[in-house]
Amino acid sequence: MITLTGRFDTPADAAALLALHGGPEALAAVPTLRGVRRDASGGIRAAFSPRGTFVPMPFALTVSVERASATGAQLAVRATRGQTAVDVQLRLGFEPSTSGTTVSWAADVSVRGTGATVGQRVVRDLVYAAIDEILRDTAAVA
Amino acid sequence: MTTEHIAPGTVTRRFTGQAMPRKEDARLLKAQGEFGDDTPVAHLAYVAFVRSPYAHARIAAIDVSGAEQAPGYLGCLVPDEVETLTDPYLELQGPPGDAEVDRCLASGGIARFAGEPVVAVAAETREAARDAAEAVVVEYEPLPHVVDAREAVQPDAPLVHEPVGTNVAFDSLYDWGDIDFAMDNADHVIEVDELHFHRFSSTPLECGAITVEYDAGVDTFTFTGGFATPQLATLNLSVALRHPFSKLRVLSKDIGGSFGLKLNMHIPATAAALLSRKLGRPMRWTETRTEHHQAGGHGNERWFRDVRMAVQRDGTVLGLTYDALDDVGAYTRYEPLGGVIWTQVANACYQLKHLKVHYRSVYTNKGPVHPNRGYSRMQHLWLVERMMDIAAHKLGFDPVEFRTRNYVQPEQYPYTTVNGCVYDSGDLPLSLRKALDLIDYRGARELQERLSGSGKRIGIGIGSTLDSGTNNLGQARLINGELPFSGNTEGGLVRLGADGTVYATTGGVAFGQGHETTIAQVVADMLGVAYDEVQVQRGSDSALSAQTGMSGSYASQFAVTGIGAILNATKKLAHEINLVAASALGCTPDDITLVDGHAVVADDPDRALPFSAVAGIVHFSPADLPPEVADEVGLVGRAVYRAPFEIPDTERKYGNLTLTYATQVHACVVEIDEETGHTRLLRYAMVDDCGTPINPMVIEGQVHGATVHGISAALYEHLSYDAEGQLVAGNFYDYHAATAYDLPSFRYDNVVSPSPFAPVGAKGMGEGGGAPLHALSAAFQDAVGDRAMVLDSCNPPERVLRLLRGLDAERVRVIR
Repeated sequence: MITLTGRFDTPADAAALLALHGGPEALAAVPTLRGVRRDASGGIRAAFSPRGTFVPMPFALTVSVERASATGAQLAVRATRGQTAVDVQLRLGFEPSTSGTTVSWAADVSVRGTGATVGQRVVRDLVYAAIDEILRDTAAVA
Repeated sequence: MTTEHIAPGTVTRRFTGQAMPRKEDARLLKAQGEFGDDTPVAHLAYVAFVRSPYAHARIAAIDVSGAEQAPGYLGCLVPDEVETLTDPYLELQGPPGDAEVDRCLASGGIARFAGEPVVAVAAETREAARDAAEAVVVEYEPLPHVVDAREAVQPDAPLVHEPVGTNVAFDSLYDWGDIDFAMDNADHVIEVDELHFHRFSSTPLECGAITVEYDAGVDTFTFTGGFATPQLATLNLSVALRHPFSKLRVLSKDIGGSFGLKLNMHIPATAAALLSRKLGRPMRWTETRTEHHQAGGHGNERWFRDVRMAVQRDGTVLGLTYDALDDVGAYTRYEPLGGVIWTQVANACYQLKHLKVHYRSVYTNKGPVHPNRGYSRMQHLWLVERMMDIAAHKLGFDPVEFRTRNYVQPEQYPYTTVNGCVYDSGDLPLSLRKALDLIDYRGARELQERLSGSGKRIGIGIGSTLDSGTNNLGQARLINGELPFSGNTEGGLVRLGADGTVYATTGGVAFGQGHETTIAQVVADMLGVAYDEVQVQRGSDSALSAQTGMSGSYASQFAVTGIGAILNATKKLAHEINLVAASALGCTPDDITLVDGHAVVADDPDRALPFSAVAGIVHFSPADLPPEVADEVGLVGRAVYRAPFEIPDTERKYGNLTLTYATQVHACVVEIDEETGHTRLLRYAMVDDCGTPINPMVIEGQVHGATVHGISAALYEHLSYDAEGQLVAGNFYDYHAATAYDLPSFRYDNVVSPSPFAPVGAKGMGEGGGAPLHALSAAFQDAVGDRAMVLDSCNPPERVLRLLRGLDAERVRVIR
């Protein structure tokens, strides 16, 4: 288990960020996501191609929002590709700022399969970059 | 090298016993070998597996639509298809473990270890197959997992196989002698809470590689690859594929190492076969190094708990007892044979009178174990050596004298062990003396004293071990009385071709041991031809009549069974040559001797026929022969060697389980950096005794190889898993296999104690019995004295540092 934390500022306010949960249409504008749709259990599914990989490497992404409020949200995220799986418990905090919102995040990450075995020396940095990237990109379309 | 104890009457031969250059080396050193991935096949397609990233998970959905878009994609195989098209592999264990269902893709739609194949994908190229496999999306529902055998036996542990109802696949109590009497009456009893023998592998140079060609016209599968036991593999494939045994052919050419690990190649071969039939293309699967680490087979990991040893005041060891938890990983496969294989060496090198072991084979969510060089015996031998060493330290005995006193003595052979095994021959005290001479034991002790307090600490270790060879397969009945196995055979075929060339084919499977060389040596001697004139078939072919059901290379047996069969076959061919020559030369067959490629009338050397003429008569002019001779001879000798075994007593778990016992005594001197825990091998010596040598160079090469494997395992190699069931050492970045840079120049000597039970006095050898693990553990113990206790078989620098700080001292007690 890896615990990662980060924060960034976005012009969007918390309400706009929460609205992203409303439907997959808004998320379709996120440049690293393709095929965004809602599954039968209400989760979001998409193909996520993080920029941090040197070649296009789409992960099958499943996002379930477990809790959401004006102050934050908790998400369960699973990304799989081939024989690598990344399970993330992601906690988001929204704090209003003069320019919009400061988003803080904390992730409990379990990397499994070849990504864990072979990639153990780089996986921490890659996962950090991927989470930071998708959160910033998503906030940008809010 | 020295030779001693050569039995009276031992025949000195022209080639046997000589360090003949290996026939295989000319092609191998010029990169002209033909390994599993080398054979060109028309219209070949490639297989890649999608493997589970989870240690334990139910497969909820599989989406192959992404793969279907991949360039070169041909098709795939999913677990549901496998459930429909195949039957489970044969299981060796009885109830309840026989409820385990093992198939080539996640059985029952459940992945039971990280790295288990879930989907097989076929494509036009290897790269396309791997890309397509990456595009398959599998949805997993993670299940609770267990990665520690000690937790797996707890009542509330997650079950690896629900239908089995327990994680204990095999449970047996071995009780020989009267251990309670020994413990109650011994002057001393040493007690250790727990010792651990870690997971590692021999990591063959060539990973698995299988090519399957399905010929629809004759409904036949041809498998080419590193199948260590071709007939047993065929049997398993026949059952799994529901395909007639007669329509399966298993071939191998060159194989880059197996060490037992390739005894389970039928499992990936099943998936490749199904794809070949489904898609109408030959299929090849070539295992990557990471795949090999994940699923190619690990050596047995074993926990020894509640260990007690009874010792007399004079240093005589009376007996030993312990509980063993053998962590077999997610599937039993070749297991639980390990649950009886260790009893071949129940006594280890010592005169134990009482031994009681409660042995359990335990499932965990880790990669399955396969036999691995020194299979299952090495673990017990390490435990016994460790206890001998610990007892010597705790009770104040000199470790050399303590071992020597308790060794089976030369005059005691053949020596019957507590469980009825018969140690055939040996001279352990002499072997130990030679090993100590090689490391300059006295000088090493002086060095140890001189460096004391310098920051460098010297440790001197001894490892005494056995390599039991030629199994009595009847021992399988000790794990399951229903199994129809007993004894052991191997086949061989030697023939004279139309031009008089001698051809030899063994039922054994070579993967680097030099079979072509040793066969040529013994055949050349028996037929009186030159070494280079014997053509030995490369690889194996189940369609040739050289094999028996037990054929293959396992259990250190080729020098006995393989050579025995070849000798018997050569004898038959020689008889036929004699018949033909006698007829042509006008004498009796008994008058003929075979010399320099000629059949010669013994008392009239001018009357002789070259083998080419003998062959010419039989192959081209049989009318020259009397009908009774022409009808009898085909110039083909096909024979079986049968090892002389009886079925063991399954009630008492008693009987002879192995025909020969090679011994190895190793000694080493290590230097430990007290600041970093880094260990440097200063001197390393091995003394081997494998009976009458057939080729001393091949033997020494095997000893060197086994030594490197053992040293590497003792210092570096560990297939460890984290708490999530993820393999930490997935390739050679994280799993350091020793290279020449890590090793000193080895010091080698031998003792020759011919086996009275084997055809030429030679014993199976090469597995090595893990002597370096014993020797290095002892060296660390020697370095730290009794201020810490070496209770783990792997001691990398971080553990050595902990030893220097007193690790596990409290876990060993002298209770009397």
